[in-house]
Amino acid sequence: MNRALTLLAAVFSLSLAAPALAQEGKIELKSIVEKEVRVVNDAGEEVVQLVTADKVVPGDVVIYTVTYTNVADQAVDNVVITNPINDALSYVVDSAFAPGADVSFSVDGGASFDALDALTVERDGTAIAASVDDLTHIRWILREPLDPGAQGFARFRARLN
Amino acid sequence: MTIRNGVCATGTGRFLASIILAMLSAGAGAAGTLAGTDIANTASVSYELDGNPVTQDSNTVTISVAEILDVTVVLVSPQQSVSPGDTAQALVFTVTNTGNGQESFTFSVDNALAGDDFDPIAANPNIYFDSDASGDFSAADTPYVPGSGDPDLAPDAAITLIVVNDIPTGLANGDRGTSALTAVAATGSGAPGTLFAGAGAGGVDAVAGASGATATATGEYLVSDVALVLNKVALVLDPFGGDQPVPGATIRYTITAEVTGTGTAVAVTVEDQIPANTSYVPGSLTLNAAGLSDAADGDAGVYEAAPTPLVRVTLGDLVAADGVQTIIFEVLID
Repeated sequence: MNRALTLLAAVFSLSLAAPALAQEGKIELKSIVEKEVRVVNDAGEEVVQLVTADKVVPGDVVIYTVTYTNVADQAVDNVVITNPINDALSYVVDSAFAPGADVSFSVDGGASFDALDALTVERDGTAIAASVDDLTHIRWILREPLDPGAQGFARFRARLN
Repeated sequence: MTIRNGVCATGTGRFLASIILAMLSAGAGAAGTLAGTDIANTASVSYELDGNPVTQDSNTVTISVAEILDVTVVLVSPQQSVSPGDTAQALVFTVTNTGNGQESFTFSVDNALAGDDFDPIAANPNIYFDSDASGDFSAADTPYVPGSGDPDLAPDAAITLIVVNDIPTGLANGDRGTSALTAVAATGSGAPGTLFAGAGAGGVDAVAGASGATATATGEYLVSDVALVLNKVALVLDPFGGDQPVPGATIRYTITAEVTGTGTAVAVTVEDQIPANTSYVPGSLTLNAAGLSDAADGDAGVYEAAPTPLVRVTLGDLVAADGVQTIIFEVLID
């Protein structure tokens, strides 16, 4: 394992070790935000690492990861995870990723959701295809009930405008 | 919990490996999100437990936008044609704060550049603000005072600076001298990514951007023997097919303008008064065989009836390679 990977593992365990701020409930929901940085490893290769995004500048790509765990002693149904997309961020197309879940998007503050290419917005009275800058929320719907102890994650990338 | 997290981390790691290859960083366009902005994010989950709907929020994660320090310097003025011993020769530059925070900039001039034939002599002072927004060096422009007078620019804001030099004596025709203006962010400069902790606008961290928080542009003086040669011929066409200057005859004037030598003749304008006892023939003005309207509009030519009837053609900057410019117009003998 080269140093970059070691560091990456270290960063990850650090973020997991952060105090759990998630609200009490049957699903433990945890949000983290990281950013990609490019470094040159010992072999002289440029590699990309994820580090905690404590400071960002325009053009930086950040990655939001929401992890969910069923901490109840029974299965929960119809699990839906929703994450806002701040005005200052542009969703990176095709970056939404969540195993076992279907993704959709909103352009109206989370009132309605649809596939990205099915969304429209009004400009000067005309409905046009929505762009990534129009998105207000991203949503994942789990296809199956979440068993006790089961967990998963959902993530997307966004670029700071 | 630990084991589950371990599983999750492994999956995350694999996903990472797949996106690393696909990732390309794109530069920010304009200044972008302002330094000091906090972007908070809270996810939520809804689900059903025993048929009852439940909604929960996650923790809130916040990213703060640091100040990116970036600047551009652009030379606005063309190459300046000068003569040996000329004084107060101006070069005009535009400096733009392309970062995302309010930033002061300091300026300096370097005349000792390699690759030219002479070093211009810095006037004192040698950097001016274009205070009257004229785009050139004029009496109203105020000198830049390093330190106390560093301009504070909002994101995307630009300022025009004028560098003033004297030209040494004893130079040969065709000699070139260069003069460079450098702007540096007052917070600091360095390799892209250099961090200035807490030093940015409003106390946020500042990071040197792609420019390294400094930029330079170079202007050039050319010792030139540029000359403008004008020639004018008249051809009389009388109403009877002859060439007698009788009332009712037309005089066709052909003016040629040609630049010789090295360098640029800047902002060349040719003006010719309509002779007494003649009247301009409306619509007869042409430049290089292309018609020019009589009105003062977008094209290069104009006919002015008052106070003194004349035609004027604006040729702009000319060099020898532009060749002969031919202006033709007609008048009618009253």
